[in-house]
Amino acid sequence: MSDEHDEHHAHIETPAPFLFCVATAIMFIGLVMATSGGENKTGDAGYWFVFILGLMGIFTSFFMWIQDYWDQEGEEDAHIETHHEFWATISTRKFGMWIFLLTEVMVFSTLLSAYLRYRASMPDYSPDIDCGLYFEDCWVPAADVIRSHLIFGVINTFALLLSSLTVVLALYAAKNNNPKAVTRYLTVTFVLGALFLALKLWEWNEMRHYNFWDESHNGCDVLAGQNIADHCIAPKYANGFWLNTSLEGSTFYITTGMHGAHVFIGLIALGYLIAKSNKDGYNEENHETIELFGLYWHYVDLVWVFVFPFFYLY
Amino acid sequence: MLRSKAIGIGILLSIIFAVTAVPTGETNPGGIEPSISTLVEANGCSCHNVGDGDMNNPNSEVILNLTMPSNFTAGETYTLILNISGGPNDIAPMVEGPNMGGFMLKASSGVLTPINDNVWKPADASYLTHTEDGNNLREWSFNWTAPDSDSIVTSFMVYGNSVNGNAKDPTDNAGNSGDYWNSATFALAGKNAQIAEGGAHGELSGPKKVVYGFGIVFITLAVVVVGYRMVDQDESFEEVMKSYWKWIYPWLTTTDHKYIGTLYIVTGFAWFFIGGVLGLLIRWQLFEPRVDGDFLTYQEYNSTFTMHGTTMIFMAAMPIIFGFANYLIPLQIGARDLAFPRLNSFGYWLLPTGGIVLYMGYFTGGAGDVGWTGYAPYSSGASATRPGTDFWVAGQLMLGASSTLTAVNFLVTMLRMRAPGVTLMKMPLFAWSILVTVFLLLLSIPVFTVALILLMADRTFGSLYFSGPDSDPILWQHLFWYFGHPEVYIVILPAFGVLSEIISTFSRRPIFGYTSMVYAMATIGIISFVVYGHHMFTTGADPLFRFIVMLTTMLVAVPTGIKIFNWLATMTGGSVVLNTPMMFSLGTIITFTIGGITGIILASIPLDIAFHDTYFVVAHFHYVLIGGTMFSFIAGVYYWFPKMTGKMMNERLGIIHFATTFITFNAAFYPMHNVGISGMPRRYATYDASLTELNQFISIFAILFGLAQLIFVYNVFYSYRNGEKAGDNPWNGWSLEWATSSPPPENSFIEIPTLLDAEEEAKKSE
Ligand code: HEM
Ligand SMILES: [Cu+2]
Repeated sequence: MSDEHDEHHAHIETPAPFLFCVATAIMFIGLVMATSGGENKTGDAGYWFVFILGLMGIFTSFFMWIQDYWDQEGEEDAHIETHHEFWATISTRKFGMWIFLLTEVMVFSTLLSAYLRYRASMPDYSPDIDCGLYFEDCWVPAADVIRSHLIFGVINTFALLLSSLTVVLALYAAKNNNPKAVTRYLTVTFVLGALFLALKLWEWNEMRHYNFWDESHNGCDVLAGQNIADHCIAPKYANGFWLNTSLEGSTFYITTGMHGAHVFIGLIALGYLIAKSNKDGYNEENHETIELFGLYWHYVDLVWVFVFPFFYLY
Repeated sequence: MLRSKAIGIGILLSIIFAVTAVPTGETNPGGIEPSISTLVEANGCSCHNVGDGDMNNPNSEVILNLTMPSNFTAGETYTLILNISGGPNDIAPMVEGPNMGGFMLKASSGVLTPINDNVWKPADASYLTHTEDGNNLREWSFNWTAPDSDSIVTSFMVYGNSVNGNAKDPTDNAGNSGDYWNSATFALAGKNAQIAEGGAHGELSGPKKVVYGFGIVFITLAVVVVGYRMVDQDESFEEVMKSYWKWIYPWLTTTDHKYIGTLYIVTGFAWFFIGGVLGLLIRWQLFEPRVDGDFLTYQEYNSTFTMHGTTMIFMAAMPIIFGFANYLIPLQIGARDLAFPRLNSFGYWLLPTGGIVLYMGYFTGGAGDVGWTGYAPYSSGASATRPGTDFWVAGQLMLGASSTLTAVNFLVTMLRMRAPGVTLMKMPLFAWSILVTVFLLLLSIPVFTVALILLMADRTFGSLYFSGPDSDPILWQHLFWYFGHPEVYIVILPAFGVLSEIISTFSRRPIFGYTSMVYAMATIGIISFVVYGHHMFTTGADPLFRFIVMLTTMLVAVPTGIKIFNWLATMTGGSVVLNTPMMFSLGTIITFTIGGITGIILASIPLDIAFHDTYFVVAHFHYVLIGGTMFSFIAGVYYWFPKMTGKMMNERLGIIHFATTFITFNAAFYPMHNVGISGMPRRYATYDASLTELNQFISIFAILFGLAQLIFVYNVFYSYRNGEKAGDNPWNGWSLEWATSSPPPENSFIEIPTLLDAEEEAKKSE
């Protein structure tokens, strides 16, 4: 890269980050006012408008942000050469992605350790111990609520694992100069991710309202000291299983919710990749962005590999 | 030479004067008066402390009743009657007999006086209790003189003991069994008190006035300036706006590290100013022991110290650090910009916008009031301000995202983009300090961010992480301090870096023990993750945990000591140039060392149990934060201002600024140790009257300290316009930023420099 070249394009100029932040602030102001503002501090519904406005601003500035990348060939701002051998073995963006993933590791270790801390503070439910009249002294894991419908969790696990594979296939296709296949594999990844989210939301809703148990609910409420058979309800969940009903619920929904949010963000990124791949095509020279996305996607997958046994199996 | 000696001696004399002028504090003989609840709850009911298990808990069979008027008029005296019913005495009713009951009563404002032999007020105490005679009654009367203001609500805290009369001798254990006690609080409103929340329809509250005041000043200024240009320069409104737009647009869209660095620094100092005003409001509240609403209401006071702490740490100290890092790191390592320029601009803009979200509480009935530490379950419960605390959480989330992304950016830049020859162990120490700092950020900030998300879920969606019946109230503290302690090193390590640069330059000699400096910083960084428990000594944590934490905390003193000795050694062998940046650096070494020593004192479990949450802790962290971080970054401004603007700062103003700052800082913050040792708690809106004198001293010097900073502000503006030309390397510094022009060109370097060894350098010049 020559020096004259540098002098002309010294620094990027873009209003997108500024607008993104302003929109985020508006979004938060709307959210807070809508949920805890107003006369009784229970929320002022009028502010949902502000919240939506903020969200729209975020999307707009997001599109402004990626506009630059849309128009150029790859997604790299400028090639950065490095003058130190050891550090030159990995590209700048890939290095950034790894470090970003390090912070993500901290995010999920915090969530999981908070969960384990609570899990350890109470004995697990078992018919042999005295759990109190409503089982309030025992941890009745989310796994017990899900057990009869575990199949959906299993499908989700396979969907996510498979989608990790399809990302790798997309990368290979790009390296083999087969842009059509790239688009196809990325689309499959998208569909699998979307399937995951859809099943997840459906499952949440069923669990929240206890629909999993409806057929056999009558006469099957467990009393203290009885066994929770596959299809019976722990008495403390008789009114549903949600964020605000028990610690089991809080930890389950928040942790799986944070994971779901990561899948959602992955889908947004995928949306861009598919469109770009359809337009220009990724190829031998230009495929790093798929690889970076793959790193993120594998990580989200890996988190699920922890979340699944912690919340669905045990 | 003579002049600089004279200045040195003058400063020394003023320090001695300042130290002698500080009034000495002493511990209250007999200790500070405990609040009645600790008296009662620690001992059971006072004389009945040796009773059986019944005495450890209140018993709802005992009913307390306080007869009082429906409201009060300022200064008026009223006779109030307290009686007890229920409890063991009713089993064998007696109208009047030996040992039937006792009480303790305290009023939040006004003066209590006994009116007969049944009731007395212990010396130095502000509560009433029964006498030996009063023991035989279940009803007592006494006088209460209302406070000077009747726009407040007074609360009476009462403890009543219902005694079964079988104990003549208070030391007789058996005799106390079967006695029950209970407590109650009664509120008596002044005639003009507004019971409605936050006085929605009444007068503006104090902080609101400040906010509106600033708003009015700003708008007036804007109108005057624009109006002036329109009338005097004959420009049309559009022209004026267009010229402003042309000026502001590059700032909004830039991704140039130098512009963003400048934005960070300016924004950081602006929030520093706002945080400082809040700090002065705190000190004005504490100018004398005030009652609720005299200056700030207690709740406003809570908001004030919360916003003060949050502003100073997250919106002043950290942005100033990021600002210098942004400006200098690419220059110091010989890169044209950061690795991800868009991300950099994103990280910056999250700061002012997040700050605004954080401050929104002031416009909606009270800003967050949970302390910068946001302890749950207070922060997750109903008593924290709403929606102020939600805004506090949301704003913090944005600031957390900002620092995480910025840290990623810096780490990549520093590891990958160094110029040829700039190996890791040849980076300037400021660059090293930032490298260690971003590691700490990467590992700690996400934890805090998640804790905030959990808190937000608790507050908004009703999850139970911190607020349910089975939730662990200490969980928040673990998550917070896992982040919180590294955070304090995040703000001090870069200061170490700045000091190393300045001291080496002005001793005219490379830093003594460069390698040990690097290892010391890395060690501090690592240790800082295993010591956070020293903030939790009084939470009833496992003794083994506490012990380990105590030892590791004290271990931090070793690498810190190494750094201090290396600075001293650098100066010893060098020829020291005394100018403003150097004076500030020397001052920093002194004040930071004092703060470090009080840190060690606090790290000792037995002492911390006494000092925890007193003003002693406040003194400690202000010595490290102002005396360490702020002082060295002010030194940094004096040092790098010529590089950034091409102009020298005014030296005379600088020295005056240093002298006034150093003296007023020590005068204001040193006595805080004393009031802390005397037992004054932190985060209270009032205090024991015996500490008034010292507190007034502190408040006055705090205000003077604030005023002294105006000299600095003036100096910056003055020098920006009228300063002498600086040239590329006015201080003869060695690091790469001095190799480029002042201010640096658009591209930071015309040509990427190569750092050569001394030998290579010699070869080249041959
Ligand atoms: C030798 C080094 C240090 C030691 C041994 C040390 C020790 C301690 C201890 C034990 C406490 C807890 C006191 C209590 O709450 O009871 C504390 C509080 C604090 N320290 Fe340090 N400290 C050191 C350096 C620093 C530095 C460098 C900073 C910041 C630049 C700092 C900032 C703080 C702050 C802000 C608090 C109060 C936190 C709060 O409760 O709000 N300390 N320190
Ligand atoms: Cu600490």
